[in-house]
Amino acid sequence: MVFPQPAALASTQRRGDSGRIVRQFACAQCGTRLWHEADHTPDTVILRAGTLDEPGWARPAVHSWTRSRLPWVDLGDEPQFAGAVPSRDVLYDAWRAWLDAGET
Amino acid sequence: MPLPKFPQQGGCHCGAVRYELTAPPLGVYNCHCADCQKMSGAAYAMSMPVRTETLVQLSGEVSIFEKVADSGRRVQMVSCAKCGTRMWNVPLSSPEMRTLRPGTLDDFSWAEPVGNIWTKSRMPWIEIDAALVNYEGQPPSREPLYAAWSAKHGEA
Repeated sequence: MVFPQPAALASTQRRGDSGRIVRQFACAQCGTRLWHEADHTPDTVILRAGTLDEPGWARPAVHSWTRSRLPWVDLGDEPQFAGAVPSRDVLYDAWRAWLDAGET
Repeated sequence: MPLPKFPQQGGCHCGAVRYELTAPPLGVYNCHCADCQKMSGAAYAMSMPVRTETLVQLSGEVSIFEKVADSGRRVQMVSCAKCGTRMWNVPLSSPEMRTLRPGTLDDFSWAEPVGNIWTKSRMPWIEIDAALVNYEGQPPSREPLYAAWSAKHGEA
């Protein structure tokens, strides 16, 4: 999905840990970051769930980059990956499992 | 985890803005208010109140957005002008303080939160440790949070 970029959005590019280029979109006025897009996955947008007006249902289904988690952060029982999630399907399957279990 | 040696350094994602924290903070806590959720895009934000003179900007250019809190107080939010990483707040009602975002420190593994505020708007799947200093809304005073931090680490 390609969003048009109205004047109210500011975008910056950064290179992710994987070396891939990511474009971040933020409110041009207050700087709140809203979503980002990556060249290698042009069909999806990564939304920052906390910017939803009602984010409470958006429970994370997996944890990635746990190798750099803070020592005092307790993770739940969800699947964990030391680095990036190996494939998006892993994430989507875990999320679907949440939905099917009525957890969210 | 014991406190590190100070000064400690931090900065934004792109590296343009660097700063130094010359002394330990007054405390660290998590804020679960709707503003922190919006502005971080996450479930909650960590807050680290520090004395103004202990936070020294070393390089880069910042941009400032001013917001009006529910209380009517004005708060300036300070970000890197280039990459947009938000690093600290300037509460105009308490100019002797800055609220640093500890995740922008190069190492913040020592900054374990001693409490939570605005727990009534926390995400339903977030578990609050009842042994910490917790408030359902805005704390009437931050002193109990500072006291919990001092009890753990000594006076700032």
